[in-house]
Amino acid sequence: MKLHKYVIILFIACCISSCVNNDDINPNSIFDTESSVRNEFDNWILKNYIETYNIDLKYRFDDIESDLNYNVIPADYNKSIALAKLVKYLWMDVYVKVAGNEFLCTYCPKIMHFVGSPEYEKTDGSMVLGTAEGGLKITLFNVNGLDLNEIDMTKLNEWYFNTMHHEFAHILHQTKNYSIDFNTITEGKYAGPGWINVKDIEARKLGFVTAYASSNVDEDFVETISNFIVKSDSEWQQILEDAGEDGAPLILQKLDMVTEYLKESWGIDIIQLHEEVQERQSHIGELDWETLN
Amino acid sequence: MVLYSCSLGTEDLFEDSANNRISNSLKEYKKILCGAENGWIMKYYPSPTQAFGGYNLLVSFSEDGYSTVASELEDVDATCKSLYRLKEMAGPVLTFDTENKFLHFFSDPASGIGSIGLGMEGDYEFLFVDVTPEKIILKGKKTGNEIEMVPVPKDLSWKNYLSDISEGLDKIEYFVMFNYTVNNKDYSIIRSNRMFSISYVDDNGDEQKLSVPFIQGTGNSLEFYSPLSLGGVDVNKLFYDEETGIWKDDENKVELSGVIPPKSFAFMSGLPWYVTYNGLSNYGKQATDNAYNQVFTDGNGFEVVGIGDFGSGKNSITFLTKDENVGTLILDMKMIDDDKIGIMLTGYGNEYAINLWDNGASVFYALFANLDQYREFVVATNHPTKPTEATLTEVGNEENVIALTTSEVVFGR
Repeated sequence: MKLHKYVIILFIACCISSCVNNDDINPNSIFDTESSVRNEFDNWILKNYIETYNIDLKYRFDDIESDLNYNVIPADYNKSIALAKLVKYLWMDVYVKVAGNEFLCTYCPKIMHFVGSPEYEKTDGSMVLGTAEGGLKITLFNVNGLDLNEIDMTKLNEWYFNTMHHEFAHILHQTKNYSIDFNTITEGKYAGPGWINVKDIEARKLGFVTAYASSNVDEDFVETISNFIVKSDSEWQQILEDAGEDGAPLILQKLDMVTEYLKESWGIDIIQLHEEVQERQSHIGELDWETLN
Repeated sequence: MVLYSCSLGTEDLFEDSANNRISNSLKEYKKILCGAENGWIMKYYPSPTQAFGGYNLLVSFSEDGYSTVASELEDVDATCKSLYRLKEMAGPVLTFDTENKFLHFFSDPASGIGSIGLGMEGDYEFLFVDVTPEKIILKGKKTGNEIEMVPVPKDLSWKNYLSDISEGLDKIEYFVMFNYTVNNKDYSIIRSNRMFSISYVDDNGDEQKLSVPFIQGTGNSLEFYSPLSLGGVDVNKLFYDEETGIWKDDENKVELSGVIPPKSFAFMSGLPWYVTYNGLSNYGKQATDNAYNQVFTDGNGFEVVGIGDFGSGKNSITFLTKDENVGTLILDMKMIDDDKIGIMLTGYGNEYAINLWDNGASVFYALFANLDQYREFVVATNHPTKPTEATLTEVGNEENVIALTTSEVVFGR
């Protein structure tokens, strides 16, 4: 055995020595180092995303960024401009104001990726609206569903901004975990993949802000955060009314826990986040989302 | 013990590095793409099995990265502009990477054609297989389909090209059922989109099925994706004869003629059908009112009702409620004879439909079908081959008359 090992090492050593290439290293990189041609939108992204927040926005379809198990289509150019501006106004600038530039630059995913259509789950027809991957990338789907003629905040929240806050909250709790006490509030009531068959109003009565929140603990945690941030005061009240005397106390208990988590772990006041978002949302109709400025 | 050197003498097979060769290829291909003055005719086949056949797209490319597309599915003078890019991805690739409504219709997972999540499964990223100024062969990245592009003749406007295609399509799309005659033998063909399906019994007595995708060509011609081989004759193209109203090959060996089908067949090929409240007879309206009073006490009701496959994969009584719940009660539908169809509930459906059934809406569903036996209806249609309106009259209960339409309409109660 010892002899055998010695032989192997020797053999490898010989191989290594004889594999040395005596040619000069090729000065040409295998990577395409020619800078690509930037159009007007690319230049806007360079200034307002990359240079400001160190975040790249990929609005042009790239299969390397996508899950090839799904059939999706690229995002529309003009709708990508509008969404890029909306995301900056309603999400990035909000966190900068409430938590500081350094926080956003550190924790925000470095890539934002736009896809034109939803990803449809072939098993149950449900749609994926957004994904967050290990803190590196957030993908927003259904960009082409944006109606530029009528910016509808309810739809924007449902399709994009609830998703953005939801996905970002995942990144936060994947960086710094939350207390397992949260798990006990509605222990045993989680529906797993069966959430798709649950209606929001039924889930609320059980103590979940949405049906999706009832799928598992992590989703419950982030849905509580994202819904509190984006929903108006009256919409939040409606959630509590839907929840009734059984569900409302549980949802409020969860809200207390997420509030404490954000404060203690991140120095973020969720009320301030909520108010900042609500204030900005109230101005949506007044602003120009199509001009690159 | 002999130890062998691992180093081998290497010799460059190419004059330049792989990176440079790819970069030069991309530049050359872009030049050729942009060099077609009047753009390209793209013979586009979605679906990895070419299940929908082929479609004419006209595409032009500009140096600054824009592509302009026209499509035989759109108005003849309409175009759509978007971005394209050439890049290296396991081979040089052409990608249309911002949405072009005309091109990406074939890739949209919810276009309304094909099932939800898949759509027509068309590519928008293509590998270059062979590139010359006279012809470009692409290969769809996901489908693997061969996509041929030839330059649009300089003196032919896109509008005129598409008008020519449209005229030919009118003729072929008039029929769903065809007869194909070769060597004195007849074969029955069913058309779906741009695909011919042929079922026949061969000389050994075995049942055979052939799927033959085709694309409309100019001058009332049809071109097959792969040669149609039947009855010992291989055919690549068929040409429409105005005098006889029949398609023939260039050697007069085969004939393709349209067939006026039975009404029941025309009805089934028109699925799915939409139902309106006003399209029901008084009998039906009464049943609907009863269902509404029983179940929809909050005034919610059906936003849309239809019969057929609306994307679930199965024929169903399908409805959409005003709070956007989709219910499906799965049906078994069949032709009974030339002017009668039968509809039967299978007992399966999704939770929402069954819930409504249990709560009293069954009186509405029962207009269309029973469990356990086929409800028979006499069919009337407004067109011999491609009806857009139909009427079902229940056999044995002539008070139950249901008017249907292929137009996407609201139920309207």
